[in-house]
Amino acid sequence: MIPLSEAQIGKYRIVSVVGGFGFQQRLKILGLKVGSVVEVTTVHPMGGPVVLNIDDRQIAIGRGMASKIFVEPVEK
Amino acid sequence: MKKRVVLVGNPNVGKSCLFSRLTGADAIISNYPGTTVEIYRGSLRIEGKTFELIDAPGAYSLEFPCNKAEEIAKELAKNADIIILVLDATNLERSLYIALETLKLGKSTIIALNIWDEAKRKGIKIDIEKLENILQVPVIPTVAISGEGVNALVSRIKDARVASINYENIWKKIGEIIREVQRVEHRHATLKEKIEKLTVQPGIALPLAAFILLLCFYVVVSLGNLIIERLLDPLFSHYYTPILERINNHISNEFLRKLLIGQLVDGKIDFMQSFGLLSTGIYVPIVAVLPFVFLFYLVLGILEDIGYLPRLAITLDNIFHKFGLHGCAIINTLLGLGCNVPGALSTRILETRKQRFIAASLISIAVPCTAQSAIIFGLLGRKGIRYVVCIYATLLVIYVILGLVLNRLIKGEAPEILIEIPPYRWINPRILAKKISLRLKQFFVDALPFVFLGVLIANLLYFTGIVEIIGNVAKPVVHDVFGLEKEAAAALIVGFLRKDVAVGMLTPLNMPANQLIIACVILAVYFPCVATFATLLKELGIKDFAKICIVMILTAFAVGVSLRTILSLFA
Repeated sequence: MIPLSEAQIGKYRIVSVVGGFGFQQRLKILGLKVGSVVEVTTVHPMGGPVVLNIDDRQIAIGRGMASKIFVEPVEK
Repeated sequence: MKKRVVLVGNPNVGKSCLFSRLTGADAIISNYPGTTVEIYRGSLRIEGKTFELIDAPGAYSLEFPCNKAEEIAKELAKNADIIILVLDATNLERSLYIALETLKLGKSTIIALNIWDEAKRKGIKIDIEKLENILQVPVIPTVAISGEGVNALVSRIKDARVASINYENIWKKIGEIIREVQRVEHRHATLKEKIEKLTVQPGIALPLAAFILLLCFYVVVSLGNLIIERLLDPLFSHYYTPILERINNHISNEFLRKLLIGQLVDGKIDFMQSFGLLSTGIYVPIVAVLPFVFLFYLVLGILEDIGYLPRLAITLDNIFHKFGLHGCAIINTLLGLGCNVPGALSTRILETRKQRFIAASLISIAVPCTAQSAIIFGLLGRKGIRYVVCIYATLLVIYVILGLVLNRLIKGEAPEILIEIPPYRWINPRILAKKISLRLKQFFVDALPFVFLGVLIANLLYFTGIVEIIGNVAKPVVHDVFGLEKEAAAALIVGFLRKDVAVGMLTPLNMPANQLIIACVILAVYFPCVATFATLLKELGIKDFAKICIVMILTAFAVGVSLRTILSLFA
């Protein structure tokens, strides 16, 4: 299990999300909830955001926020 | 009392587009979340009854608003008589959260399931009948951009109903609904999706962003100059000058003549120097400014509508961290380059007070509006492009330094970027044309009276000789500190009203290029125009407004002195 902020490009399943209630709620609305499979497509350098694909949609999330989302790789 | 119908839904699902379809009224429509930060009102007639239709800013959640725009949406929804819930058919799961929240408000509701065409193309199948049964309100598939389904929506507004849906856990309920009504056929990634991924790859994104922004700047400046030199200037001197000259010869009252035509330069009317209402007052907005405003909004509109701006926000995100902001502030900045007023208003999409304060400061201090830029191009462009570059480079440096400093000084949280990136979409020429004409109309209605007033005041200052008095009073600052001709003080006064007119007032002073650069930069940073002032006061509140004013004064002094020192090294 690793934080999303340290993930390389590839597919991951969300295992847990930490942080405040409002933050968790917002992530859930965007589809980032425990059990969802996300594909990391880009990690911007120098603390830039992580770009994810989830259900055919692209979402960009700041690195600090991403560090509160824990994921495990999905086997192909 | 007219019944109030409110459009509620996530950001970037087509509420404003639907609003303008339903009312025929104008609303600015773009392809990025957070376009609408204000409240648009229009009226809607159904079977002889008139309703007030209100377009609310987009929100992800009504219960937990995370910025000012969402708070506005929440208030509007609470006070609605009927709610049109706009859901994104390509993104039903996310849409259902605000849908269930809204239905819980106990208002008569009807659902527009928008972006229906794209959902079909994506292989998403939604069972409308089942969705209606579960949500207990009418569901009408719509394509707001083309107008498909809009008539059906209107004819069914009378069927809007109050739903009472029982569930313990909203997420479980959403999952259930999705399993019940939605089927997705798998397809291969299209070329468009590949481009979407490609344009946010770090190695490509940054050079691409630089290329696109420079290209836009180049197109606006060079085409603008071309239109002025080849089209408008010849037209004006050929058709308008003779009319003015005839008027000039017919007016016997000296005061009236000075008021309308202004000061003659070498016995001739000079559009940039005469400062009469009919000469400079007409020339500045129509010839000198309008082409640039039009081109700027054309280029911005294209970037907005294809959906490039959120990608630009991601690309520049880490730079904006240094200023206590995140990438979305580039959208505020670009809007501010058009006009500071919508730029300052758009900071409502930022999450915290600190971020709104910093973004509003940067826009109102270091971002010149197009009208101001237009006159700078006209005034300094002729002396050499390097002077124009020098001004913009200085403003960029001010933007960066001010951002770094304010990030240290202003307390508060600086949340990171969290943004849904919309798909690239083709430009819809009708919507783009409407948006440009709407923004131009705003320019005419909001700016033109102030241009006239500015020209009038400038004229009177010269005519009455008050300009000398102001110059003498302001000499210790304007001349002794900034090294400018003392008459430039009058421009600083008119700058409160209109920056374009103020920059224009520098023309007759015949200052050397160095002084012009200093004067233009100080005019940009010292105080925004009165319209921006009013917006800042409204948006920030009196306390933060006072703080921002102090920042402006300090910046103007620091910049004036350092610029004078630096430029004197090259002189």
